[in-house]
Parts: sequence; C-alpha cells; structure tokens
Amino acid sequence: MIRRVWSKLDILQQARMFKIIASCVVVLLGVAGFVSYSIAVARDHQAALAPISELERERQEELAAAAREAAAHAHENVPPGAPTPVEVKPGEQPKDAYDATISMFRGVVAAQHSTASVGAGIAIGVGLLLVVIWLGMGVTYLLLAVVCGLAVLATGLMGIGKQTAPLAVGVVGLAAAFIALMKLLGLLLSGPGPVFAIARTVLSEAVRLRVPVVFIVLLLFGLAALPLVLDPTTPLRYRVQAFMQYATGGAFWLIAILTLLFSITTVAFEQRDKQIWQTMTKPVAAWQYVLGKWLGVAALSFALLGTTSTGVFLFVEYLRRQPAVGETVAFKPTDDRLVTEDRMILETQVLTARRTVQPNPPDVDPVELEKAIQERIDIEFENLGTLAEDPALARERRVQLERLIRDSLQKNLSAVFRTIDPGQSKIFEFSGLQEAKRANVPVTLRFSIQSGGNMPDQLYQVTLVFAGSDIARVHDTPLDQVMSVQVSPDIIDDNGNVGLEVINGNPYEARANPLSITFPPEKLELSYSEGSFRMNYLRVFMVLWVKLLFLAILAICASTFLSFPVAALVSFTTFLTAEGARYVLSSIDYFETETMDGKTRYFNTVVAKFAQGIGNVFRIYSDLRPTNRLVEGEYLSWWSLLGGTAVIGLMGVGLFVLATYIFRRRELATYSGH
Amino acid sequence: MSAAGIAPSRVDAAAGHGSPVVVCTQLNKVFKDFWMRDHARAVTNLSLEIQPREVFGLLGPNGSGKSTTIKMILGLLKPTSGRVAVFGKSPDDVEMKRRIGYLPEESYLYAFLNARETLDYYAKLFELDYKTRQRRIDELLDMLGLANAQHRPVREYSKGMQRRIGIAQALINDPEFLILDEPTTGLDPLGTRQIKDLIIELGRRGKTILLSSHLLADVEDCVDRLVILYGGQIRAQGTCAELLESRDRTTIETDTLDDATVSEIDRLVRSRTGGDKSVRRVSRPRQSLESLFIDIVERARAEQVSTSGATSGGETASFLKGSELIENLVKASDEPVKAVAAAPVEKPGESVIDALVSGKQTMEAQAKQAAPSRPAPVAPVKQEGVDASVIDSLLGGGGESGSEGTDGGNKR
Repeated sequence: MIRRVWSKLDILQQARMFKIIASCVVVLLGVAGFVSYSIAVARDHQAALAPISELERERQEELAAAAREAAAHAHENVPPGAPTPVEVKPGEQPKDAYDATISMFRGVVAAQHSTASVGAGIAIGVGLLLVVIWLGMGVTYLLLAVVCGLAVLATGLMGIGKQTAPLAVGVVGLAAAFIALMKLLGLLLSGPGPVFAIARTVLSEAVRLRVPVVFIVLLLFGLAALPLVLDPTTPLRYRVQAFMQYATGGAFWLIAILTLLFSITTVAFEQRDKQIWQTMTKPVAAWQYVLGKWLGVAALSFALLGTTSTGVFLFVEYLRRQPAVGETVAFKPTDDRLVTEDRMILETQVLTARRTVQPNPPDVDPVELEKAIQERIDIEFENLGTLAEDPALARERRVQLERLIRDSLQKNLSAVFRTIDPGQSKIFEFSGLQEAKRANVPVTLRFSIQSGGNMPDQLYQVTLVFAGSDIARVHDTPLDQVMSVQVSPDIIDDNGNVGLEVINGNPYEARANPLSITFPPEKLELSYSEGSFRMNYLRVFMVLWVKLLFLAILAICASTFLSFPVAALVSFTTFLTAEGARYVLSSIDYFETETMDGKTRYFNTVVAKFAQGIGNVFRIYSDLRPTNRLVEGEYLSWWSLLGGTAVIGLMGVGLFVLATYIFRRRELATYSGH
Repeated sequence: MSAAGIAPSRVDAAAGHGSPVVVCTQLNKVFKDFWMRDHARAVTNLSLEIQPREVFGLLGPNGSGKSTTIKMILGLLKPTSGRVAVFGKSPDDVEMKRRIGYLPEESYLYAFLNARETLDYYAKLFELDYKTRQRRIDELLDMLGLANAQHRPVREYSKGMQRRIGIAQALINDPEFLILDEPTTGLDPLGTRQIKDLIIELGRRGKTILLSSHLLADVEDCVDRLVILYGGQIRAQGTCAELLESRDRTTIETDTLDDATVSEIDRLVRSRTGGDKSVRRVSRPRQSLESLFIDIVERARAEQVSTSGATSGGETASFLKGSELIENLVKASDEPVKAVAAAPVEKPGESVIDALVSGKQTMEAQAKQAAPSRPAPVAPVKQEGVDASVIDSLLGGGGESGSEGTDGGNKR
C-alpha cells in the first residue's frame, strides 16, 4: 500500500507539469515574502533604530561630562599638555572607544535588516528549492520537512527530546542538502566523453562504497551534534568562535582525510583490481583519466564542503541571534547601555572581516649593526686568547664566531624590539591604515603580553598612548591574554600611519611592573573592519576548497605509481607538512645546526635545509590560514585568495602533468601492489 | 557457415584488401624484478599478422604468453623489444582505440554499478550520444539475457553474468577489431554456445576478431586461422583445415548399418586396395554433452522453470549486424528466422540485408538449428590415394550425392 502510494508520488514529482507548477508556487512565495518584508519589517526596523539615536545622544553627553571630570581631577603627576590618564579594568572599554564603535555597530544592525541582504537570502532559498524540484525530489523533501516539523512540534509539546530533536533535524537537513547537491553534481557530470564519465563514476563510487559513506555520516552527525556541546553560560562571542573553530576546522580536516583516502583508493584500487584495463583500452587519454578522477573527487569535496559550510554558516547566524551576556533577547541589553561588551566584540571583532596591521619592523642602521657585530666578535675573540698563535685556526674560529653572532643578533633583534623593560616605554609605528582613515571606521588594538612565568593571577599595568590622542589608557592587563581596545580613527594621520607608545607600568602613579614585558609575534596589531563576515566566509570556503582540490591531485598523482599504503603515507605526510609549514619555518630558527663550540651538526643541517625547502614550498598554502582568519574575524582579501589559488593551482598543475606523464609511461598490466 | 569452408575464402579476400589489422614483429617481453633483473620471459621473437575480417585464434596452455601478447597489442604492456602496430598505429594511439573492443580474461567491472550503468559508462568513453547509448545498451542487455537483471549491482552477479557484461562492454562501440581473451570462461555450456555463435556471426559480418583461449574446442569452432603458443613462442600456425586435416584417414557417415554390410564394405576396401587398407573402426556416433545439456535446459525453459540468473539471450544486437539506420527502417519485418550461421559465404555488405529481415531468434530456435546452422557443407577434399568412385558405389548413388556427411574439417 505504502509502496504503491509512494510510487504514485514519485511519478508525480518527476512530472514536468508538477515541476512547473511547484516552481511557480515557490517563486511566488519568495516574491510575496520579500514584498511583505520590505513593507512591514523594514518599517519596524526604522522604528527600532530611533531609540538607538536617542541613546547615542545621551551617551555623547555622558562622555563629554566624563572627559570634563577627568580633566578636573587629573593626577598631579601629569605634566601640563600631557594626555589625561584613563584607567581601564579588564573587560572594559575606555569611554572614547565606546563612542568610536557606535557607528560601526549601527552599521552591523542596519546590514542585518537591509532589504538587499534579506532579498539575497530569499533568492538563495528559492534557488535551492527550484533545484530540488527540478531534480524530481520536490514531494520527497516536502514530506521530509513536514515529518521533521511534526517531530519538533511533538517534542516541544511533550517536553521530551529537546536536545535530540534539533540533532535529528540537523542531520536530516544536512543529509537532504548533501543528497540534493550530489544529484545536481551527478547531473552536471552526465555529459558524454571520458572525463565526465570517469568523474561521474567516481561520484557513484563515493556514494555506494562504505568508507566514504562512513566519513560522510560522521561529518553530518558531528556537525549537527556540535551545537549541543556548546556551554550556554559562556559569552556568546566565545561560543561562536568555538563553534566556528571546531566546525570549520574539524569539517575541513575530516573532508581532507576523506579526500586523500578516497583519491588514493579510487586510483590505486582500480589498478589493483584491474578495472583500469577496460577503461584505458578505450579511447581515453592519460590526461583525461587523471582529470576525470580529479574532477570526480573535486565534485565530492565540493558537495561535502558546501553542505557543511552552509550548515556552519546558518548555525552561526542562528547563534548570532541568541542573547549575549547582559542581554535578555538578542541585541537588547538588560540595562540602559546601547550594546553589551559581549555583543560589541562579537559584532566588531569576530563576525566581521578585519584587516590587521603589524608594527613596522625596527629601523636598524646596517652600518651600526655591522659595527656591533664586529665589536662582539672582537670581544669574544680576545676571550679565546691562545688561538692567536695559530693564524689558520684563528681565521677559521673568527668565521665561525661571526656566523654565530650574526645569526644570534638577527634572531634576537625582533624579540628585543618587542620587549620593554620595567618603567620604560617604546614607540611602535603602524603604517597602511589609509583605508580605515578614509572609511572613518574605528580601529581595534589587540595585544597580549608575556612576562616571567606568565602567572595567571598577576595583573600588569600597561599604559598606551596614541600619537595625537589626549588620553593615555592605563590597562590592568592579565598576562598572556589577548586584550582589545577600540580606538577612534582620528589617531590615524593623513598618511595612514599610527604611532603608539607603550609604557611598562603606570607613569602617572610612578608604578613600574616587576619584570620586562614582551609582545609575542603577531600579538600586537591594529585592525579595522574591511568587509562583511558573509563575504569573508565565502572566501574562506573557497580557500578551503582550493586546498582540497590540491590534496585531491596530490593523492591521485601519488597513487598513479604507488600502491595504496605508500601513496597514503606520501600524501598524508605532504598534507601535514603543508598544513604545518608555517610552524616548521618558525621552528627552524630555534633548531641548532651547530654545537656550542661552532662545529657543524651535519645531520641537523640536512634536516633543517630539507625542512626549510619543504616549508618554503608550502608557505603560501600554510599562510592562508582560512579557519584561523574566520575565527579571529581577520579579513581574507580577494587578492590573497587569488594569489593563494594561483600558487596552489600552479603546484596542482605540476602534479597533474607529473601524474599524466607517469600514467602514460606505466605498464598498467603489471601492477605489483598486492 | 563452415570455418573450414569460409575461412580460406575470407582470408584470401582479406589478403587482397587493405593492410593487416595487427602486425607484431619480433616481439619480446621480459618481466623484470625490483632490481631490474630478468624475472620471467613471457614472449620470445613473436611475429604475426592479423588480416582484416579474420577470426584469428591464439591458442596455448596457461602461461604460454597469450594474454601478454594481447596486452602488448592493447598497450597495457610495453614490449621489451620488437614492434606492434594496430591499424598501422602504435598501441598507445588513443584514436585507434575507438575501433577496438576488448574483453579481458576476467570481467573487471565496477562492483558498485549495475549492468546498465556499467554499459553506459563504457559507452560514454566512446563519446556516444544519449540515444545511441540507450539503444545499444538495451540491445546488448537483451542479446545477452541480462535485461531482467540490469538494475542489480554487478557485485551480485554470478561469474557467468559478469562475463556477459564484459562481453557487452567490449561490443558497445561496434568495434572493427574485437579482442576476446578467454571469452567463455565462467559461462555455462549454453552461454558458451551463444558466445561462439556470436563470434562466428561477428566474423561473418566482417569484424576482425582475435580470440585467445586454452579451450581448444572454443577456438576450433570459430577461427579461420590460428597460432599455437608455448613458452612464449609460436609452435604452429595456419588455418584450421591446414592444421587439423588428417590425411591418412577417411570417414564415412551413413544410417545405421548391420554387421554384414560393414563386413561387406571391409571386404570391398581390402579387395580394392590389395589388402593394404581396411575398415578400422565402426561406432555409433554419440550426442555431445553440450548438445545434451542444451536440450535439457531448453526443455526446462519450455516448462517455464524460473531462474534468478541470466536468461537466454536474444538475437544479436542490431547495431552489431551492420547499418543501424537500415536496421531501424526494416525492424518491423518479422520473417522466420534464417539459419544465420548456415548462410553461404558472402561479402560483409550483403550479410546486413539478411540480418535486417531476421526476426526474434530464441535460444530454442538456435539449438534446434544447431545442425543446419553449422558450417555449410562443402565438397570433400579429394585426397590422394582415395578413389571416390568406391565410396559412391557403397552409398548407392552417384558422385553428386557424395558430398553429404563428410567431416568437413571436423567443424563442430
């Protein structure tokens, strides 16, 4: 009975007339929804923004009063004309910074309610529904949605399974999206010709063999279950960051492992099991075979990454609409503040696309540097004394000393540059902030300090004075924790430069911290909003996909001439090296290639050179850091995307050519991988 | 069709038309181990030519170099020395492979695809358009009796069914040159019979076929010319007639004779040959096990006993018979089946017309027609030292009727 009914429904959803009617209904609903929103919701939004303006005016008055009060009670240590000190506790913002971010926050709120973005969202939704309808799955998915809706309703009414219902709905939703996407890709790859035929077969293989299916199920369940493990008591920004970190990073690693394993399997096992004999005795060129395999894996990785990324994005948007710390409902603080700190950081530092600027490197006079090196050498040389009796030995020793001292100085220079002694100050220059100045967007200073053993309960006072500002911020700063400071774009001069003086202590109270402080690499930076989170997310998705495409051709290339285990070893080693190239390159500096008395450690030297070579090959790949950028709200520019794609693509093309060459030369009938 | 009868004429015709399909010159293949030391010598100084429209047999025991030779012809292996040309091109030439169909010694199929998807995949490799693909797949599945199982994954197939799919994929492009490596491996006698009939018919339609087997009967039934390999070297080559003809025996087949008549014949033979020759053996011909098996299966099918395996195959796919266009135009014709294999020797172009008017040919019909479909009887080869008039007189007829019942090169 059920089978008969289902059979009739299937015939119905495959019928052209049904598809046309369903498409018309979906398009009409989309248009109606958009028009309704534009008329009703947008009007409400205007009304909602009005109180903000009122609050903003009140805040301006408060700030002016606070500034007057601060000036009146300025510390007696402050000399005439010096900046007024403002004390800032951890987790607070100075009042001028608060003021500076209001406009940015308003922009975020406005963007969320803009008819353009809502229209784009509706258009994407309608497009997806049309795809489902024209794939002949309209009724299936409608029934699936109804069943899921009823299940959620039932669990809601009965008060049971509140945790598992969203998980089940999430899994079903992701699986449905994945299946639809796979069907669509299968349709796109159904054209004649060897490349499409091979690619299509790879997709079928992925769906019907067990290993990929296990990965796919694991991925879908993991992604759907992840929101359940987020601690609802932690600040919203941390929840969002944790979710993005684990979901995007975890999904990428899982898909990357699947891509590698599946690429190797589909080529190596085909040679082992000899299906390739029947393929390669047809009019199929070696390049067509390799390209077809790659295209199939590329389509699979696109389907997986597309599904998971869409799921992650939608859930991040859902999280964004949850109350932050200090809010009863999203974007509505419990007190009279315009916005809570949690919400502010989430919107201006996490769910955004910030361009970061590191301080300019120290301006070292090469002559002075050389002079310092020579002086150090002379001192060390004199200490050796007796060597002077043997001129040859002395010459050799001097060369060794020079190399050691030069390396040591280079290594220590940047560390010294980022270190400030107690009670001392240092000025850091930042350049390239013209765009922030032009757009008049607030700038965020992010920093972290290390000192001694980084005791977690110790607070250091760090005073920050921006050039041109009349306020000196005295921050109570925990060690080894990232601090954020919002700053007005007024601190940027006309050339896009910013000067920042950092004092290790509080000069207004003549208090110095007990030890020197050091900013770890990349833990002292200025940033400003350059684009939207959504576009940044899209670029991150593209970078991740480009990486997967590279991994696919890497594994295919390896398996054209290696058996499964060896190809897997080579591919995974390369993958891990590529992902860790950034770390490897930074570690080489600390890798000893000489003994204390200047003798070369040959083995270590070979290892270092090899690691450096490999690290340099994958430097661009590693520097893209898509997941980190997403989590940190860092801007990933189109140029970075294109540049990275070009370099990775070039490497991929090289591997493709190599794979094709090997494949042409190989005797396919003498495979020895058993 | 008699291979003995048809083969020489076809080979002769081929010799005069076009270049050889395959030319192997002084082929050597030595497999090396990891250290590049000689590991095994598979083929030694092998030279052969396969002419257009020839069914060529590659015969030899396991490990004799048959498959290695085929793989060198296909480009799956590279010769250590020597030269291979297929249609005048290198085996690595991609375009040349459009003209080839290949069935390996085992059907290496994608286990996760079903029969239809499998054939669609291979058809796409030849860049066939959608309609052509679907028509050919339908015809091949029907021809090989797999239409009912076409949506089952190939991994669920029996070995014989997988073999049939393997054969179908080799034919999907309607190849000019078909390479069949042990085509009947895993097939039941019925399937074996069908494949042999198919090879004969394809050969008759002008296809060039390279048939490799260690099953002597398979090769003997089908090929025009063959080589016998052993240890990677050619030990014998020629037409079946040349290689199989026994020149010191004469076989006469009659209705059952009583002992007295046989004695009379023996006396006559002795008297005519001065006692040098006599009747050596008198026996009643036995039905072959293959024929018995086919009869039993056909009877069971007539009783509609169900089976989950491959059904009996249908008629040869129309696209393999010749012009698909003409075939489609006259497909409605439903004339009685002609004994296809019994058709006289003809030019490839003419044979298409026969195929066009042939209707549904069941396996039962094929079995019943097994005898008439065998090679057309030919005049006995007059051998030196044998006086035909004696035989004529024994049979009580003239020389005209004496052509009946000769061995004809032992075909079937």
